[in-house]
Amino acid sequence: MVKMMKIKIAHLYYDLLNLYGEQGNILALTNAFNKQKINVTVDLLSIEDNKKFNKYDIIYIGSGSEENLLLALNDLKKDTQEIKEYIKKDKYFISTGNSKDLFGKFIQINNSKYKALNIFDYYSKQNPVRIVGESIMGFKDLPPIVGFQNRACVMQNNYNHLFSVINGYADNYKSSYEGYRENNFLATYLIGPLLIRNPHFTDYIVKDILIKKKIKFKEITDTYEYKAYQEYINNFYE
Amino acid sequence: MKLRIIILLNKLITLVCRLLGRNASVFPASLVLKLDNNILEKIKYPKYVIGITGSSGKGSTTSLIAHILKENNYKVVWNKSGSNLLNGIATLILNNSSILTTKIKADILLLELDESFIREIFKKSTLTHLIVTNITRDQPARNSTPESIFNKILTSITNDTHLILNGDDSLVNQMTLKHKGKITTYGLDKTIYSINTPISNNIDAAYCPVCNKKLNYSFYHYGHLGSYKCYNCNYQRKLDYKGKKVNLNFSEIIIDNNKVHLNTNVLFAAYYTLAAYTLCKIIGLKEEYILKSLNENISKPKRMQNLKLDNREVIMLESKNENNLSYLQSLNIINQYENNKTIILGFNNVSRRYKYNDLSWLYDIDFNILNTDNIDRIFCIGRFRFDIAARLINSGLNENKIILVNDINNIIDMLKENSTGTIFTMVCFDMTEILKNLFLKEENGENDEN
Repeated sequence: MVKMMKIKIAHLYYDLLNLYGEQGNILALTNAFNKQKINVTVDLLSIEDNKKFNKYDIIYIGSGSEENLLLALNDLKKDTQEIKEYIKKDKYFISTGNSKDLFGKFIQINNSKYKALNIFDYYSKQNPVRIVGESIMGFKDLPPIVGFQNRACVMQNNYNHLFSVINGYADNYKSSYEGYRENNFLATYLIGPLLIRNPHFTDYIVKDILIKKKIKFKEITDTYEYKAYQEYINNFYE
Repeated sequence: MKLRIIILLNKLITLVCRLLGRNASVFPASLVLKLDNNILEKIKYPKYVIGITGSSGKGSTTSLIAHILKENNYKVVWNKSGSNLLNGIATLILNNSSILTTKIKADILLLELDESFIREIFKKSTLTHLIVTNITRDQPARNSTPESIFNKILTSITNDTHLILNGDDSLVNQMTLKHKGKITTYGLDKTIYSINTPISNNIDAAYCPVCNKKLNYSFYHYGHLGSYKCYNCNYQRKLDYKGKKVNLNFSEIIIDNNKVHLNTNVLFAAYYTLAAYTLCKIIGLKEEYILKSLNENISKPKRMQNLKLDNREVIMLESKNENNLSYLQSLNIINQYENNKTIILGFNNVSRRYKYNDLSWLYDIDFNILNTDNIDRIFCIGRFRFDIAARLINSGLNENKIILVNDINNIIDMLKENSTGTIFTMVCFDMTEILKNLFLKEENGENDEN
């Protein structure tokens, strides 16, 4: 018997960085693989768990309150080297909402400056007002990415942008880009389950993973997620 | 002198609004506060100024307390209209103040307060008592995080305020670590409805506020409300008033060894009844009088709107968008109805307060509790109908049960042809009127034919 292919997903800080429907992103990934007849296992990881990142195909981390973000930062520091190696291997690390701030040089919030994981050169500082609003982003040649932002910080970054901003907020007020990409580390301030609301973006990730594993990807767009996306574009964009 | 003129002016504007048939509960103070925006600091308050706040349940708690107090011959001024922001409360206070003495003409001022705006209404020492019903993720575009709501409430009071806290809520209970004034906690013992593990990964305040270790729950009522303990530092739920043996079939709960009637058969009612009981005990009302008001002269909650479609009952519930636990409670009301049923869900706009359409909250609601055999069909309506359908399927619901309504004007025919059982609608403010009119039109049309 041929051993069944399985995709392993880690939901990092599922009980701490879970503020904005983050579990929807895990459902979106799981369903997208299942539609391709690929099995998925999801491990829920949090503080003090032995994380062993290398065994996963996708690591997902979502957004949380500022208090919870700092708890996660404190716990994740010991895993910095392993995260660097994971990203070097071109594996997918998806970060939504303010978890992006963890991977830069520092986070300045509530009048304190916290050393972050220092994996990338960007940094984040609390903005005088919270940044809240709908966003439409450009990503490669895909149809626009839709989403919502609700965050305390602005980010300073000059390269490796993930999205170009079509509508809504960028990393900071001077930039016209949002998010960070290095290899397959994809980080965006978008929340609002990004991967449910953008099934074409989810399929882009799924397709890439499957092709690298030499598995054929079948395009399936007759789903409510695709219809919801189109309806949103019709009502709010075009 | 100026104060008296402002009180008079507020009363006159209210009178004019009423004569013109306009809503007079908010507008008058929006004008007179411009003459003196510190006016509420100059009014003379009664002995008790009681606030009720939290992410949900504050209206029901307030009206039940008002009922008990009035039954017991207290003169109560309270915001019955539910206007819980500055202008509504200032209008209420000024209209109930004496022009001569500038004193509020009541024994007790009882106020439902919006959790984010308490400090904009009162200077810190005004409230003698404050009940906090719960703090959950709620309208994040406005409130950002539960922790931020927590901080807003706590910075609105001084140590002179007696806090009455829902101790089952692990976030609300963190106020016991920060507030140095009087505190009384209430909560519910394990019930037959309690669960051992949360339904999904959407729990707030899961870690110990003292030592940051994960809290251990012996049971959950719903969301992050339950009985928790930190095994590392022993931080735990401690209740001064405990509701026991909640029985929703009999609509009752045991408090201080007495049977107490619940005016609705949902768990929420156990919380607001217990909160009301606790508050009344604290201000010195005798147990027998409280029980009499709760058990004999029962206060009826706001009725759900009931209509008919042919011989089928139509029950209209309000969709609590952007508040996952409040929404879940409404789903529970539907779930408790045991017969065959059909549900209508949807909205054109997420919020009535702002234009944002954040959909993240849909994935913080445990829709999988709708995965029951006695639900015949779920109709999805409004601009976000596909998003709701996707959410339901992601919760494991059978795709054949889900029907998309592209044109709302067809819904009556679709319901007749393609569904059975009692109809529950749980739609947002913007769809309620449309649906109600369609049902009424259908009802009236039939009457004409007869």
